[in-house]
Amino acid sequence: MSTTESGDMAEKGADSQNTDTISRRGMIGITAAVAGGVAALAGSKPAAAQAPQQAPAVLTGTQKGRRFRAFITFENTAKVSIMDSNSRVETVTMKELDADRIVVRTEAAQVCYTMLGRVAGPPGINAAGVLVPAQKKGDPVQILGHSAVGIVEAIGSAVKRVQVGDRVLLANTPQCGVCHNCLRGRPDRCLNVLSPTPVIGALADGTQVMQQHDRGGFSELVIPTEQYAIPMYYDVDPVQLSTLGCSGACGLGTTTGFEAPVAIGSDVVVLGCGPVGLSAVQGARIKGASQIIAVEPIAARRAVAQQVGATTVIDPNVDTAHLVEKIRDLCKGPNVQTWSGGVGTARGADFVIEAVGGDYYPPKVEAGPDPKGLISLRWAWDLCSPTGQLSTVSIDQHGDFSIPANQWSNGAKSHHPGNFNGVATLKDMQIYARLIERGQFNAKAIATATYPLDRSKEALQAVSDRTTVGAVIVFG
Amino acid sequence: MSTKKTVEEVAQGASRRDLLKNGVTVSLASGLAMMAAQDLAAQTQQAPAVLTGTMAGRKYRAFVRNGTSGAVEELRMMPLNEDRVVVRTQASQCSYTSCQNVLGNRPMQQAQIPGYGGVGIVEAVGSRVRRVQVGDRVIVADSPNCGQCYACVNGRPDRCLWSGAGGVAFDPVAQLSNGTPVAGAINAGGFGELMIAPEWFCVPVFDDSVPSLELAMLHETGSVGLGCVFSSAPVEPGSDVAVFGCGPIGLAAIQGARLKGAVQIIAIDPVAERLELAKKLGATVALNPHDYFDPGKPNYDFRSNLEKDRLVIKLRELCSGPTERRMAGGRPNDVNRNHAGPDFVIEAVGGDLYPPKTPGPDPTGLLPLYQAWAACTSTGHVCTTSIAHKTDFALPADLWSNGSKNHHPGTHNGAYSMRDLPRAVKLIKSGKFNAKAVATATFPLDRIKEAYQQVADRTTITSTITFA
Repeated sequence: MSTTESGDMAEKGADSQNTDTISRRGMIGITAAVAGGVAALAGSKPAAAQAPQQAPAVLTGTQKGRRFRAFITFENTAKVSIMDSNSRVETVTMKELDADRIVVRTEAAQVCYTMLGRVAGPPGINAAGVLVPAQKKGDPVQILGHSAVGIVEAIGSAVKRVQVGDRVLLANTPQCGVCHNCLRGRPDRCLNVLSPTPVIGALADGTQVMQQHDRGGFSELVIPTEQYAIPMYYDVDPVQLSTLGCSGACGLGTTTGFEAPVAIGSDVVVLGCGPVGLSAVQGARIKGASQIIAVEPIAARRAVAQQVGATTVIDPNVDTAHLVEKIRDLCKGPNVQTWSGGVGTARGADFVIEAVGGDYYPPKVEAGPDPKGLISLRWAWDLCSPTGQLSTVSIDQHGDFSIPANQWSNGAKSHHPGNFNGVATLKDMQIYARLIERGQFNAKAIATATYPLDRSKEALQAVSDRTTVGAVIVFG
Repeated sequence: MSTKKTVEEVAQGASRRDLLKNGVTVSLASGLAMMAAQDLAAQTQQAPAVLTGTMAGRKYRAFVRNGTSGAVEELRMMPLNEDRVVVRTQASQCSYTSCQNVLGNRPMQQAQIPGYGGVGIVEAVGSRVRRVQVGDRVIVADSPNCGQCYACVNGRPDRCLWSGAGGVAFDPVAQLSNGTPVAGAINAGGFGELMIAPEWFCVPVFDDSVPSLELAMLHETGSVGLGCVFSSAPVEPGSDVAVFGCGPIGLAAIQGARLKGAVQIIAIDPVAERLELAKKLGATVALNPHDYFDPGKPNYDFRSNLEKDRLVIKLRELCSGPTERRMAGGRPNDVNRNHAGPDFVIEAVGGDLYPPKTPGPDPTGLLPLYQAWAACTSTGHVCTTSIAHKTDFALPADLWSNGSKNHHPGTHNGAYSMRDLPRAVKLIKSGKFNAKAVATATFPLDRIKEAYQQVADRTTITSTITFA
C-alpha cells in the first residue's frame, strides 16, 4: 500500500509533512490550485504540467460560478449515428454546492454500452421499452456517464464519508446504509438515487445541467451526493479503478457477492464476454470454480476470456442449435451414480451468469445470434441446473422473455436478476480494488482503450462497434 | 403429550412395532388408530398383513388408472423390492394436481396408482431399508429425500433426484388380475390400501398424538407451503407477505408466514370460504381478485397491463411504509413503481384442470403468476409453486433480467422432507399449525371420484382418502 494513502495524514499540520509522505488530502489542503488527475496523486508533477483547459481547483466557498467542461447529451430528432449525434462537450458553470454533495476532479470514467441510447437516441420508446419524453425547450440537459474515479476537491457542509484530497470511486450504485433496501441487506438497490436528478449547473445560454444518474462522469468535475463516493485506499491507478464503477463490479458482484456466490469446484457458465462477462469469469475463477464456460461470438473476446480464467470458450454462432445440449454435456460430471452425489444425467451448470443484452447498433465485429438479446436469456434459463443459481444482469432487450409457464413457475432454478446484483459498494469496492492491487482481478483486460474527453464520441463508437472490450475517458 | 399412548401400550403390553412384529394384524382406522386399538375382527375387507417373505401375491385394493379407465381394482403385489417399504395406508390427501389422474380419461402409458404419498404404518421393509422399521408410522412424502444424490448433497433435497421431477421411472409394484403391471405415481402412489414406496420417500413420525388425517396435510401441500416461507425464501419478522391462492398450499404458507412473524399477510382467493379460513389461520387482509379485475377487451393482455393491474396497485398500497424518507429507512410509496410492495410473495394458484364452481379471473393461471411477479417489491422474493399452465409465460425481457426480484420456483421449494416434516408435526402437536382446519372432507377409497370432484370444484379445501 502506498504511504500516501493514509487518512491520518490529513489530521496532521501541513508543516509536519515532508514532500515524500505528503498525502493527497494534505496536498490539497496546502495548495490552492493542484494539478488535476493523476498528477496530483503522484505528488511529483509540477503545477505547470496542469492541462491549461482543466477547470481550476477552487477549494473554498460554495463553488458557485466554477466552470468546467463536460460531454453533454442533447436530444436527437431521430436515431442517428454516434458521430452525428448532437451530444458534445460544453462548458458548465456550477451552481452553489449542496450541503450533501462533493466536488470530484475526474481522473477516469468508464464507458458503458448502455450509454449509447442516451447519446444518439431520439425521444420515444428507447431500446429498453421505456418512454423517453421529448426534450422541451428549457428542459435540463445531462452530462453523460454513470461512474468515475477522481480526487475530492471540495465537500458540502453535511458530508462525512470523504475528505478533501481523497481519491474516490463514484460507483454506479450508491450505498447510503440507511434506506429501506440497504437496511435489508440489498444495498445493490440502494434507494438514495434521486429522481428527478437535481440541477448542478448551467450552460452559457442558461440551459440547466444535470448529471446522468446524478453522477455523470464524462466531465472534468463530478458533483455527486456523498452516498456514491467510496474513498479508495489501495494503490491502483485510476484507469483500472474506473472499471469497478460499473461493469467490473457488476461481474464481480454476480459471482462473489451476497446473492449467488459461486461455490468452489462448481460449473459456471458466463454468457457474453464484454466487460461484465469478463469480470464474472474472473470472479468465478477467484471463487474457485472448476469449470468456467464462456460463450461469446467475438473471437478476440473469447481469447481474453481464456486469458482471465475461462476453461472453455464457445462461439454461439457455431452449431447454435446444439449449444445448450453441448454445454449441459460439459457440466454433467464424472459421477452419474445418484447414490453417491452424482447428477444422474446431464443437468446443467450450477451457476449461470447472463451478460449479453440487446444491440443498440450492430457490432462491427462478429455479431451474436440474436441482436434483440432474447435468446441468451432463454439459454441462461435452460443451462441452469434445476437447483442452480441464475443471475441475469443484461438490459436493452427488445421484446419479451418467454418460457412455458409451468417451467417458470415450477422449475426450481433460483433467479437473481439485477444490475450490481450482490454488490455492497462501500464494502465490496475496497475488496475489488485490493483484488486489482494483488493481481487477482485483471482490470486491464477490460480497460483496453483510453480517450480524452474531447474524443468521447470515438470512445462510444468503439464500444458500440465492440472493437475494444472497454473504453475509459481519461483527464489531465 | 404421549401419556395416552403410554397408558394404551401398558394396557396392551405392546407397541405398534412389537404388535406387528408379533404377527398380529392391527386395525388402523384413520386418525383413531393412534388413540386406540380396535377389534381385530374389523379388518375383514382390508388387505391382510403379511409380514415376512417377499410379499409376492399379497392382495390389496387400490384406485388404478389403466388406459383410459380409472377404478378401484384388486391388485397382487409383485415381490417386494429390497429398497421398498410396504405401508398400510391410513390417509392420503387428494391434491389438485392429480385431478386428471383420477377424474380424467387421458390414456396412460403405464397403469398407475395416483396419489402423491400419504400416511400409514410400515408393515414390511425390503432388505436394504434402514430408515424405517416395521410398526413405524410414516409420512410417505411427495418429495423424497435420499440425502445422497447431487441435489440432496448440494442442499436442495426439494429436488431430490428420486422425485417425480427427477426423471426416474415408476417401477411396477403390483399386477392387475390380468397380469398388467401397475406402478405408483412418482413411485409413491397413495390411493391404495398399501403404499409400496422406496425408503427415501418415507419419513418416520415419532409421535403418536397427531391424528394421521392431520399428518396427511403435510405429505404434499403442507410441505410445499411451509417450504416457501421457511426455507427457500424465509419470511422475515415484521415483513409484508402476499399469498396468491388459499388452497391447502396457500393456507400452509399463510400459517408459516404467521409463525415466522410477518406482520401483514395478504390472502388472495376468489372463494369466500377460503378467504374466511385464511383469516382464521393468520391472514391479516383478505382480497378477492375479482374486486380488482377489469377484463376489458376479449383478448385481455395481462403482460401489457402489468403496471396498471389494480390488484398489483392494491398490494403496493397495502405494503406502503410509514415513511418515504430514504435517509431514515424509508422507501418511495409510489404505487406505479415497484419500490413498495410485499417483501415476500407466494403464488399457489395454477391453471384450472376443471372449471371450479367459483372460478378465479383467469382459468389459465397466468394472471396470478404475472401479478405475483409484478407486486413483489424490487429486492423482494417471489416463490411460485403452481403448475398446470398450458401456455408460455412472457415478461418484458429487460425487467425480468434486470429487475432485482429474486425468484424461487419449484414445487417443494426449499422443503427437506426428513428435516422439515418432523418439524411440521411438532408444530401441529403444539397447536401452532392448524392442519385440522385444512382437512375439510374425508372419503373412503371407493368414493375417490366424489372426493376429487369436490377438489376439482373447489367446494372443499381438500379431500382426504381415509382407510378404515
